[in-house]
Amino acid sequence: MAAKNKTIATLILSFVLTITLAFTLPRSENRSIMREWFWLSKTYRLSDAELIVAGDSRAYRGIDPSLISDELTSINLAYSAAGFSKEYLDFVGAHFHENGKEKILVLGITPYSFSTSSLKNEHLESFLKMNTFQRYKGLYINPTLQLFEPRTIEDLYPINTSKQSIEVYHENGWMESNELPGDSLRALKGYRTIFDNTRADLSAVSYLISYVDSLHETGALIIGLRPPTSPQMRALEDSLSGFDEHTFKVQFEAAGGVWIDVKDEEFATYDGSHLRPSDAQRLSMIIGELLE
Amino acid sequence: MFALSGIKTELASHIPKFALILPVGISFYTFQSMSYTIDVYRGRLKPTENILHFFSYLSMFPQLVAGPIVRAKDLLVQLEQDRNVSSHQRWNAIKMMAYGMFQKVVIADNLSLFIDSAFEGKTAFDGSAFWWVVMIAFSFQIYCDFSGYSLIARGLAKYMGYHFKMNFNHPYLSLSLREFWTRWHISLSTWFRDYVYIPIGGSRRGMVMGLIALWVTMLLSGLWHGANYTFIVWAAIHALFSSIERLTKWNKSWSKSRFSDLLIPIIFVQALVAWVYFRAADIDQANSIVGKLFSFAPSDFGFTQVYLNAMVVLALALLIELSILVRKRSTAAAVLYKRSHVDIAFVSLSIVACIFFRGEGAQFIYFQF
Repeated sequence: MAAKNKTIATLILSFVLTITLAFTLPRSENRSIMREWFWLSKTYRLSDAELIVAGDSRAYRGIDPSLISDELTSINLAYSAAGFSKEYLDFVGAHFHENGKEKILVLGITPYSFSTSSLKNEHLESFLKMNTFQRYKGLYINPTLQLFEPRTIEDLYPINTSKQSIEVYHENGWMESNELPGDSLRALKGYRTIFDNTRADLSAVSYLISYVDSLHETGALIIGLRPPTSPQMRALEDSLSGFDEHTFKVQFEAAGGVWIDVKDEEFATYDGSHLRPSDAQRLSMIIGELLE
Repeated sequence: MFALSGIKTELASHIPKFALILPVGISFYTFQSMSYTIDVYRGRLKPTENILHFFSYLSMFPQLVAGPIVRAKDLLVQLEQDRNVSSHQRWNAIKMMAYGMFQKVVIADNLSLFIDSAFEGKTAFDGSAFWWVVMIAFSFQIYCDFSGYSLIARGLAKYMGYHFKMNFNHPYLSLSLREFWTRWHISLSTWFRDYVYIPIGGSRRGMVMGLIALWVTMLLSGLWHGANYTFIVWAAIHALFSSIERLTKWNKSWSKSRFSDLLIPIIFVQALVAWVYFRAADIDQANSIVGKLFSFAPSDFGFTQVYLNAMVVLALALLIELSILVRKRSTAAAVLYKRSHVDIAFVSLSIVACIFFRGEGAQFIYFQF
């Protein structure tokens, strides 16, 4: 065969093989690309909804909005270390469907979500600050290029290892996460350090209560709950954060909110803070039952 | 020297930061300008009258950063001629670049995590078998990394119509250390041969002077790699095994027998032991690794599962070298390989492997030298 034909044949064969393998080889687990897509998608692509979940990581890992109601359009707008600041609540409020049948806000309340550091909402801000190209790259280019991400032998032939970290990114904003083996005390150390340096900001608590009050006056249903966590975590937060759940609950209900008491003992976490997927689904269904 | 003399100069703290940045490819650029100057001085080369040709020779981009070292007499002639690149040359250029990329990004880069973990103590595995596999992996990592770069450089040059001589010719298939050095980093070893070994006498002045020339050349080559004792010991081990080979000629009759291929692993092990010193952070670490290699203590083979990716890639590298050996020994295999469709399939597979099985991007090892 002439050299020129060899070059052409090689280019064609390489192209065909590349496209075929891109779609047939098991995908490489490039978590950073998918994670960025998840957050950008949540920030910019989710359409307005009738039911919105807000809060921090316990809310976005612990509540699947589609299990709360299959009739209403629903999204989870919780972010890492999110705090109930005016900016965050305005961001959430802007996502309610204008012509929706219902307006339901589910608030995952944690003591940390009133701390001075969480009120900066740095996680959400990092996505809001992105320019058009960065957004486009994270939403469309990177996920497409992921087809051509390198694979390892472990991707092709997964080996059963005793250690696994799972994160599944759902389009409605819920992040299904788990770790095997679980460590029910792992997160405690980090939270102890956090509460050594920060306390719940009572003015933020007051602002949320007034926000609930004003939203309730528009006819919205506001559901509040402290997402279940490990008993050790709850004890740590209660003793160090300066957040008084009982007082908050009284004020929240007085403002028109509906508070759900959830027993930590009935749920299991994988790291001492976040719920396992099956427990997250069960919690979501419990909230749904209340709606019915 | 000042430090040894006890004179406190503290010069380093007075050198502006920018002045410490070395120009890209300084070492290879120096080799090439030296060879031009020496060849002109000796009357072996007519000085070029075209200054652009001279600087093109010095700064030819494909090989500037990490070789191969091109001689003035080879390249200046090519610069003076009109270049008509044939489609056959272009095909060979593409083939070289594809194979070079495969060696670098599929083999070398996929082995680096395993090797770095071992040398940086990031793994609990530490037995004799573990270190044998680590060192075999490193032998192939450094070979594929540098050979890959050389092939890409040669391919790029060929695509533009220039011919650079081969820099690696399957050195791990050598039947002697002498042969190894005619196959490993050929442009550097011939440079040292022509400008150091032969000028100080070579092998023409008897056995003793020949051995002295060998040691001087090897040690200088070691020093070139860096101001670290480990490189000196690496060179000394090569000089020692080469001296033994030259004195005893232990492998001469063996290499002519039908069991000559059994010499391949023996020569490979000699190179492998030297590589320990080349890769180790210091002499103590290298000595400890050599101790473990030859302790033959029972090992935990769990690392084969933890580093499965590296193990598969290493097996592939070994298989490729084995196939080269088979091709050399068997005419039928050589003929098969020459067939167009086999050629096309291998180049295509190399390109696809570079896309889907590339390792973590790492700098070319020889960029540091």
